[in-house]
Amino acid sequence: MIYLADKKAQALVELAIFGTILLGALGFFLTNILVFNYSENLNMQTFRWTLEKAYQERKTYNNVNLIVIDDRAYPEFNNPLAIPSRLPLISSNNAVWSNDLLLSWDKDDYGDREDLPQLTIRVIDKNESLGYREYNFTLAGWIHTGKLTPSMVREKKDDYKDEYLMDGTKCSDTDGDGDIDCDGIYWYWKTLTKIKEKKFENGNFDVDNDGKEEFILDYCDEKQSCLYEANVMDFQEGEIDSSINSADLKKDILANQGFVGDYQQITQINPATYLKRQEDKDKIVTTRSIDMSDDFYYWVRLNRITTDLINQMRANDIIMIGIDDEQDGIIDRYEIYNQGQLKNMDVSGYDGKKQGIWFGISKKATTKTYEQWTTRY
Amino acid sequence: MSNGQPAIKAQVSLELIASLIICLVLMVGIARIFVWMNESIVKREQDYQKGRKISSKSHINNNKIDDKLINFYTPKKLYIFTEEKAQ
Repeated sequence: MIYLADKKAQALVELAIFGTILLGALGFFLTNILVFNYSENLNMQTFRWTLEKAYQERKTYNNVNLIVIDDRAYPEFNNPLAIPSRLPLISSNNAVWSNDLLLSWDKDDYGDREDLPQLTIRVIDKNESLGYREYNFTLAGWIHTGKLTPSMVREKKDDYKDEYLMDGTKCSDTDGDGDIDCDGIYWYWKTLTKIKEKKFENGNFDVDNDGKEEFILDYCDEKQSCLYEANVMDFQEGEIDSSINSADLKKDILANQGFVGDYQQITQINPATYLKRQEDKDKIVTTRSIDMSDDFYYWVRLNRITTDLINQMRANDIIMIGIDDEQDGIIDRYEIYNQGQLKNMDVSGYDGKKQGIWFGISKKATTKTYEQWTTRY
Repeated sequence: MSNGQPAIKAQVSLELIASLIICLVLMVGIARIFVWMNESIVKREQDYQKGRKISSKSHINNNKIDDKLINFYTPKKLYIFTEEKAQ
């Protein structure tokens, strides 16, 4: 470093430069630690809330899945006006608390929404009486099948020797080099030859040929002179289909459903936001006023729209539906509806795997502060 | 010597003293902030662990978890250059 003999206050100037860098680094650490701290706090709260919810739902047999969303303002070290940024924080947890050790459903649970496995999203909102609002999405639906014949029912069979493709064909050595030529799975679908009621009920079988098992709640055989129909819990018929796997995605099914972390944040800084410095002979009066709002939309991808779901919507919540006008598998436009519009619509025909349905949970956060201070000299 | 004017004596020493004082104040301030933050994280963890057993039982009477177990910790005030007043 060159020693500038003719310049005064060399050391203080250097301190001013390096001190600024030091304070910047301090601000950076503080911001990051604060954000980490908020996030840890939310994780702890979420676990306690999950315990509470698991206890409240002890009469069902379901794992409680809870996602908690919060947004916290934090100062940014490189922002001279100190306008706070709002950061969305998301935490999730799950717990199970059941009075039934066998963790199974009863026949009379059929048709009850509260007995279906659910995903709960809780948005912290201080304007609500509870301090939060809650949305419940079912992860399965109750389905009454038509008449079932054994040829319509398949079950998974393990085979530790041979490998199979997803369509049930056995992998073989097609080129004769002594090696199996496909990378398959060690189970296959076996079609039933007879439906035995005792084995069938409370079992998992594929009854709708979608390549995924359904839980059989109730079935009647010929002894009861009924219609050979079954009540099943179908995990592909909930408001969210959580069973989408990599094989589905290869078949152009739009994407994984549920809360996949998509959110939208619109920050609006109103004209009442300003920093004013008024210099006088012996003092400086500084006024800092902040008036801003952040609009969040947290997007949940849906499988179905149901009346129960529409009833849970709040004033600014929306549902966005992709419309494929040309029937070519590509979404041409989106239609956006609020609760009032959806209540007057027939929503049963929409399918999230074909057109994409997004549930937009809205949250508005406002920040208003006014400060004035005087520096005398 | 510069421009024929005599240099101010002990200029560097004076600046060094002023700089060291400012540096010291800055470092003490930073250290106090970090000590407070670490202490808060530890105390929060302790409070969280204290409520561990109770939080699995508190719902049983009223079907709702005690609010103290959700908002279980409030950090104490940060004092950098003054001492905390005795409660």
